[in-house]
Amino acid sequence: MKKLAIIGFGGAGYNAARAVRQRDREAVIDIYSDTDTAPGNPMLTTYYVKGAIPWEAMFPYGTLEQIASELNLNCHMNCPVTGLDAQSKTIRLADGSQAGYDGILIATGASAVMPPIPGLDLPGVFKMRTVQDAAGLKADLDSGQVKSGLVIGASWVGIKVVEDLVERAIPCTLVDGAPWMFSVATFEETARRVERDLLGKGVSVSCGQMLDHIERAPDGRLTAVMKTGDRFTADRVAVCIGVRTNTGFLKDSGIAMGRGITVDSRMRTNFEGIYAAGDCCEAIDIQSGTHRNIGVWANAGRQGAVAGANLAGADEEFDANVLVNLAHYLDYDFISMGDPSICRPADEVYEYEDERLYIRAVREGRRIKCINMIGSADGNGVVKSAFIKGIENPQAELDIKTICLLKGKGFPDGFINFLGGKRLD
Amino acid sequence: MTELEKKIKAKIPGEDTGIEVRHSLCAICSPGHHCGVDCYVKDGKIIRVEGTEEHPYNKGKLCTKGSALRNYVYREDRIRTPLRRVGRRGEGKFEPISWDEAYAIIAENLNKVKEQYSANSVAFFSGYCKWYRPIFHRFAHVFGSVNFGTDDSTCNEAKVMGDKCTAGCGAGPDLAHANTYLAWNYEGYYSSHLSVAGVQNLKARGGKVIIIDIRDTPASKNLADIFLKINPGTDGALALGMAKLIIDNGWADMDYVEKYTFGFDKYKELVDQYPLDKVCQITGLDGDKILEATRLYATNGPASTNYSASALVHHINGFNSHRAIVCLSALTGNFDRQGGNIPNPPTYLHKPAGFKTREDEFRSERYPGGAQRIGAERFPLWNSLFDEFQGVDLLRQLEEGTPYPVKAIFGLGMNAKMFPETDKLLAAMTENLDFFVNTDLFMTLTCKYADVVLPACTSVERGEMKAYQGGYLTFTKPVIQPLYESKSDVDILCELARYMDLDDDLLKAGYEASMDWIIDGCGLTVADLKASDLPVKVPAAKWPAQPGKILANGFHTPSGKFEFYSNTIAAIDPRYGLDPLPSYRDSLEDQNDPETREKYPFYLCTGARLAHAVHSRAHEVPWLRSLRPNPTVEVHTADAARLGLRDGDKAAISSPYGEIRMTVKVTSKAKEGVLMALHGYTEANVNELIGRDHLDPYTGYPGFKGMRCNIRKVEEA
Amino acid sequence: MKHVFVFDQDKCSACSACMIGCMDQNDIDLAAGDKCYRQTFDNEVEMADGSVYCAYISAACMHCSDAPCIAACPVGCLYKDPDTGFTVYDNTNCIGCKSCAMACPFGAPRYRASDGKMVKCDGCNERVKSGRKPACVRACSFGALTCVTEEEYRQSGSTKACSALIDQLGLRK
Repeated sequence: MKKLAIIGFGGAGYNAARAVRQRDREAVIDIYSDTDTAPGNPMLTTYYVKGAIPWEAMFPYGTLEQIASELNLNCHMNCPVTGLDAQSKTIRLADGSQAGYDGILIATGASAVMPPIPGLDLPGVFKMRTVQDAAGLKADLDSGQVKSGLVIGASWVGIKVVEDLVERAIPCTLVDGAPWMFSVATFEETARRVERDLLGKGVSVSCGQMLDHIERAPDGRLTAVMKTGDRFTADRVAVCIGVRTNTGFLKDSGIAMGRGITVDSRMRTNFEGIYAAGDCCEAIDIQSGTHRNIGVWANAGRQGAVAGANLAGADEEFDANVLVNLAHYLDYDFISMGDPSICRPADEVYEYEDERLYIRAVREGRRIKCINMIGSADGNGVVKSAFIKGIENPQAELDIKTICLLKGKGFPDGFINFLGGKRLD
Repeated sequence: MTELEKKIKAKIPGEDTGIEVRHSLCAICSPGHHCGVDCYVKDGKIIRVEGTEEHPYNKGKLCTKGSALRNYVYREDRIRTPLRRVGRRGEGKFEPISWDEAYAIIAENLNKVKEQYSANSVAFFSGYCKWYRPIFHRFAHVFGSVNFGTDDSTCNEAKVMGDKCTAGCGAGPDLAHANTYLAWNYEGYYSSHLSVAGVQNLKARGGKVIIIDIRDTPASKNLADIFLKINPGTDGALALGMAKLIIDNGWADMDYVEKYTFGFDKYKELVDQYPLDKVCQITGLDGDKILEATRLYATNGPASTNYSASALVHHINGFNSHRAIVCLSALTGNFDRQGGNIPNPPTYLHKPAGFKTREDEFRSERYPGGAQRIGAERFPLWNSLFDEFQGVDLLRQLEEGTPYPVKAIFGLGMNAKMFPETDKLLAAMTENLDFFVNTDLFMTLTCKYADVVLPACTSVERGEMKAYQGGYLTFTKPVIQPLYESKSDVDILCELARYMDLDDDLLKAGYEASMDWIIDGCGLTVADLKASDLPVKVPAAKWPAQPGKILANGFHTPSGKFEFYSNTIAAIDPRYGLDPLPSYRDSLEDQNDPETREKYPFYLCTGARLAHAVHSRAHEVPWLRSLRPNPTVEVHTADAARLGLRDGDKAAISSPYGEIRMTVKVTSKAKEGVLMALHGYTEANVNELIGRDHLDPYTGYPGFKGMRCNIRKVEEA
Repeated sequence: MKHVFVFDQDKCSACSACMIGCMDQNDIDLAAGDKCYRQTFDNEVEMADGSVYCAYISAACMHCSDAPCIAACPVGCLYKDPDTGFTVYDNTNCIGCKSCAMACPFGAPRYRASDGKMVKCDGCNERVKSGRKPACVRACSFGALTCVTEEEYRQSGSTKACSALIDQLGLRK
């Protein structure tokens, strides 16, 4: 009878447990979590704040009791793993106890970064990652006391906090340290458009602003003072400047790490029998061929499922790791595929605009490097599929069906041709 | 959601859901079809429609249009009550009146015209619907008018005339036994969905399919072994050229020709004028391909031909083109032979029934005579072959008042958009009519010109007798009550006959009694039919039609033979210049002067079928309209490039007779220089572009599918 | 019993009866801007040799055996019906984030503006469970679109199952 440990119980941990159980009815599965909640989706926090979903919906797989009984799991909640002997596959817990396993999955996820900047611990400064963060902000906003907001960090979560504020008619400013919005995903041309459109929705955006410190006035109002000397004052300040992987307990374990735990396509670490999946790991990015931490919900689930299957003795691979970011806020859709940082001036650029759609894409030869689209909504999957296919085989032309689907979604012929299709007219 | 809620949402019939399935038929398209439908009814409303699996005709299948039947029935613009005009004609201002008031106004005004002029000055005209026609036709004659006319004035009847003049009757393809299908103008996917399976079956057992069409279609892609993409309007030349090849190569069935045909020598003289190179030049086809197709058709055993209802006869050379194609069937010995074309069995209301009815007697036994029908003088061949007036001449007679004035029109679904220069016709009606009553489901353009408008109901709201292929007959029951205050057309007519106290006990006895009279002798009564929810086998029916009867007993022509040279046409006064041989002339013959050529270099072909449309009947059905939201002109890729036209652009299409605006669709399915557009849109009525005298002299049919025009881009207003 | 949608491009004419059947079954509210779950395509595609291919296609949710939308949904709206094998959903908690649309190579999930939720073809799951055909299949006169049990599909030797398309696309192993 196999004895397995899953460290961390989020999307990756849950899907791993499920994948194991589908293949192995006997295996002992021990779950270790530093919380006492069911697997939750960090992406849903701002939707809870908005009132779009009830509390329970942040836990898409059900309650802990349901999951534990359905998958027959031993759940050790509020029980963080503090160390790992990778060679012997033994974990250490806070009380000093140890347990050895036949296989281990590390799925500890990531946490919001709160750097050691003065003032980040002031009341009224908050982050947005956990369900507790969501509960706090919702209660705060529901109280009606918040009259203005400042969001530091034009990240995927930052923009959703902006939405939470705007939908409650709370004036809000967005600042970011990068030269333009969503800079890891956008071309400057796209970003300027996004900023302009955001302004049109009443949100002012200020980029190139690094936070120096935050001050609190006697009346409780907060002022973020930037390194430029600019000052932004608001009732509340959200710090949404990024996440870091929860891998501190692996220090000195010998597990290979970059920004996260390095895994191969089978989600294996450098130690036999030890796997990692989800936001804590770095899988292979199929575009660059190098390891990259891409923390998105769908990846976490897929990676967890692959790791779980392999822990149960199967041989599965995860090969869909690619930089794709979707921002949907205030009836606005922005999507980026691929890495804008690898684009060069000599590359070929495609740009298109109509009343509904904006596209900017770059390719070198026939290899698409990055695509930015605004307003493409339900056609994103078709483009993404074509993009991924192009990475795998840059010479391949689009198949007829994909061309038809793209056409049906209203993409212009020029773009379809740019992607590798050729359509008459 | 509970399990029951899920089932209700999914419209699952059952006692628990309260959803009941009731049978009816779809009458959106041609009466040659009219598929059986299952209406899912809940709380007196139709919530879903499917084809009836147990129905002997369509066996569960429905086309695009029929699938939208619910959307058609519940269209927002259904006429709700009888209406009396209060504004100007055409303005569309009406006030509701009661049925009794409506009948009183109609009776008074029709009788007034009858007294002041004559009964013939009242023209009775039916739109596309056929089901009520025996009642309507008889009504016209009992009222005393010779003038009963229908949409046959521009639909299918020209082909029927061609058949009569050539073979004495029409004949359908016997695909089940054919080795080759000469699918001339065949596009079953769009116009005859149930026919596709027959072609698929033919191919599955190794049969070959030759498709001749002016555009790439699903049929040409999915079904054709040889596809001849022909210049529009040149089919007649191809048929003559094929005949020459067949004769020259010794592929003709000369035994058949000698035994069963008339006028072969003259025919041979005609076809000798069409050598292959000349035919290639006219048709735009490759000679080898014509030869290959002809060889396949003539030498591969039994070959059936598709004769389309209107694709050819909507050219001003169409009547003879159709005849030229029919002649191939006799030349190769395929007419009335197994695997060729088998003469149509007896019909009821255009539907092959397999048993005889008294439909014709019912319609015409009260024909009053004493005057010429509208169009008789201008279209003598039509008049000699068909007992309805030729509506194409209505405009002239309204304007000129000769040989007698037309002062009232009683329309059932009359639709002026089916005629060339629609606006001129509506203007002439406005100007010259003392009274116009129209009946329709919807407030159409034409209804807006009526003095009284009556609300009819759809097929699912009425009981209707209908024959089906296979020797079946049915009498449907309403699946829902008529919406609003609408009534079945036949109830309107019979109630009016009673109100006017017309001298006819049958009409006054009503629809069911009339139907019993018509089917008397078939072995069933209306009461028998009503006992079943589905079509029942008629005891007297003989099905399927067996080949060889005409060959044994003689053709229904003056010579008793298949007439390459038509004695029926030869009997027409020579001053009309009608050729008894199926000779070819240019389909733009009347528009080929240098000036018109230069000003209108494009060939406009209107009305070629698409799956979601049939005339104007489906354009305003929201689900169907969504499939092509804008009235559209299809422009060839090369022409579009030359003119700077792109998908979605607005373009003006003009002819010497008018100009309309449509949205451009760029395609290479039709040939360069050809523009394709659907007819029937009120806001972009292509028939405004067709000249009122651009007609086939044999039949009076307008050249809807071949008209000079021009196109230019216009900026949107 | 698991079911498979099968599409035969050589029998399709893009007549769109399937779309109408879908609209009728699902009460698609066109006036509100909603779109039919199924779409047809009638496109001319220029081939490498310069010829033009007339494509007639009908497409909706392919009910992929390994459906990427399920993993992509952050709220867990999407799941496989254990009985029919269709990819079905309960969008009560849908947040309209369009992650499912981004995951779908066929663009099947659509955003419904009228209620801000995602919707898609559910294979007419309830109809199939009650022994009926999906509405689109029921409306196809040409045998282009069919829906058969897995067993029937295996016996037919066909390779045209929609659910296999995801594998053909090479997005997964």
